[in-house]
Amino acid sequence: MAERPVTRLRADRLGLGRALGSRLLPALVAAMTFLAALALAGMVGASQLAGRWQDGAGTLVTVQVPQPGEAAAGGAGGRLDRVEALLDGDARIAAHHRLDDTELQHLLEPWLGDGTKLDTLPLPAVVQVRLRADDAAAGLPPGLSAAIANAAPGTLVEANGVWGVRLARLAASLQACAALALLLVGLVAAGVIAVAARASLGAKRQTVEIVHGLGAAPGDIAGRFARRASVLCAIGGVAGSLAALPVLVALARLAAPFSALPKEADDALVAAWQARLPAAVVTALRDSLPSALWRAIPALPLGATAIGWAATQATVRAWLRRL
Amino acid sequence: MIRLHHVGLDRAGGSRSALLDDISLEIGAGAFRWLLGPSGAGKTSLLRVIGMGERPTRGQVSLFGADTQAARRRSGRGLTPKLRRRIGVVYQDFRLLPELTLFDNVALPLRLARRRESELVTQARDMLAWLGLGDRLDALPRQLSGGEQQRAAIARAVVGRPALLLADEPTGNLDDAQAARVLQLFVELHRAGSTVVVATHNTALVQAFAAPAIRLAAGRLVGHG
Repeated sequence: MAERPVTRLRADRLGLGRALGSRLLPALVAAMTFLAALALAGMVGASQLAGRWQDGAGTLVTVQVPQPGEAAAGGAGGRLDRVEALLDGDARIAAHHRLDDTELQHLLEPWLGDGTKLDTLPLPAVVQVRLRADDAAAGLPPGLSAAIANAAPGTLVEANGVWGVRLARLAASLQACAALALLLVGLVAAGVIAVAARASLGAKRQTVEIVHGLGAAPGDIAGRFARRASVLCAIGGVAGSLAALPVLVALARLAAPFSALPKEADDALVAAWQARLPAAVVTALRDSLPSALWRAIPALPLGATAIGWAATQATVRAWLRRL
Repeated sequence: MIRLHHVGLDRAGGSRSALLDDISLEIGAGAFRWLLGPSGAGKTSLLRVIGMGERPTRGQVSLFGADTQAARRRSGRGLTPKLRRRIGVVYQDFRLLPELTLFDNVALPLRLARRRESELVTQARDMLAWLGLGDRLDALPRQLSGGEQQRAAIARAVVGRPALLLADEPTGNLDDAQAARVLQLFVELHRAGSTVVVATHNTALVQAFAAPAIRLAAGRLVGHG
C-alpha cells in the first residue's frame, strides 16, 4: 500500500465555520457598527456640549449697576468704579467686562430699535463677570455680593450658573441616551449574530451532532464557529467604521458640538500621528474630528469582533447543552 | 459499567406509548450482550440512551460509575466529552461525515482524543484494511456502497478501542462473510476487555457467538441474561 501523507484535520475541514454566511453577517455587522459610530459621536458631542456649557454660560454672571456715575456709598469714587474694583479684588473672578455703548445698543436693539440714543435713557451699566469654573455653580460669592450691595445699593446680580447646571444635566441626559443607543446597537448586533449562529448550526446539525457524539468538547465545537464569526464581525466592524468616518466628518463640520473641539486635540494622539503621517494629513485629521472620537472609533471593530465571538460561543454552547 | 435504573423515554410530542418503559438492568465491565427484539421494540432507543445520544425522560443511567445526567449538568460538563470518547457507536444509518474522506472519518475519534498524528494514521489505516476498505481511504462517503459505508462506520466505532461498543444492526448491509468478519472484530474487542452491546435481527449472527441477550418488546424489558 502506498504511504499515505499525514494530514491534520483542519478547523475548516468539517465546514462548521463556513456555515456562517460570509456576506450577510459582515454586512449586518457593518450596519450595526455604522449606527454605533453615530451613537458614539453623539456621546462625545454631548460630553463636549456639557463641557462648553459649563465653561461658557454656566460661568457667567451679569451685574447691573444703576446710576453708575453717582458716588458710591461711603464716598470712595463712583458706583461703577467701586463695583469693578471689588470684582478686581476677588480671586474667584476669572474676568469681567463692562459692556460699552455699542454692545448695549446691540443688546437692546430688539426692544428699542437701532436709532435710540442710549445717553437719553437712565440705563444701568452692565458688567459681564466670568467666574472660575470650580465656583460657577454657586454664582457670585456671597461676601462679594454683599460688598457690592453696600457699595452700590440697588445693583442687580444675575447668576447664570443655575442655567449652566440645567444645561449640563440636559447634556448628561443626551449622553445617557447616546450610551443607551450604543448599548442597544450592541445588543441587537449580539442578537443578529446569535441568529446567524443558530442558522449555521441548523445547516450543520448532523455534523455537529456526530462530532459531539464522538466526544468533541463543547468548547472545541463552539470555538470553530466563534473563530469564523470573529473574522466576519471584524470585517464588518472595519467596513462599518470606515463608512461612518465621512459622515462623522461631515457632521463635525455642520454640528456645533464638534466645532470647537479640534483646539482641544489630544497632544499624545497628535504626537503619535506626527510620528507616522505627513504634516498635512495630521492637520486634516486633527481638524476633522474630536480626538476623543478618533480614539474611540478604532474600538468599534474590536468591539464587534468581541461581540461576535462571545455571542457565537454562548449560542453554540447553549445549543449543545440541549443535545 | 452500565447501570439503568427505572429508565423511561417518551416519544416526542407526548404520545401515550413510551419508547422505553421502566428499564432497569446492569451490564458488567467486559461483558458481551446481544440486544434482541422485534422492530419497534426500543433497541435503538435503548442504545441511544446508553450511548448518551438521548436523555431519558425518567430514571437514571450510569456509565463507568458516573451518572450521565449529573455529567451533563454544569458541575460535570467537562466529564461528558470524556465519557463519550470512551464509547464507540455503530449507528444504523452510519452517520459518516459527508465532508470527510473515509480515512478522515475513521481517524476523527482519534483526533478528538488528541492522539498523535503518526500513531492514528497507522491505526485508522490498519482498521480500514481489516474491514476490506484499504483501497478506499480517500473516497468520500457518497462514493461508497451501503456495505462499504457500514464497514466504515464500524471502523470509526472500534478504531479507538472503546471501553464500550454499542452497535445498532451492524451487519444489515453486509453479506455473510463480511458479517462474520465484523462479529470476529467485536469478539476480539470484547476479549480485549471492552463491553459490547449489539442490537440485531440477524439470528445467524447471534447463533455464531454465544452470549447473554437483553430482550425488549414494546419498550419494556422482557428478558435479560
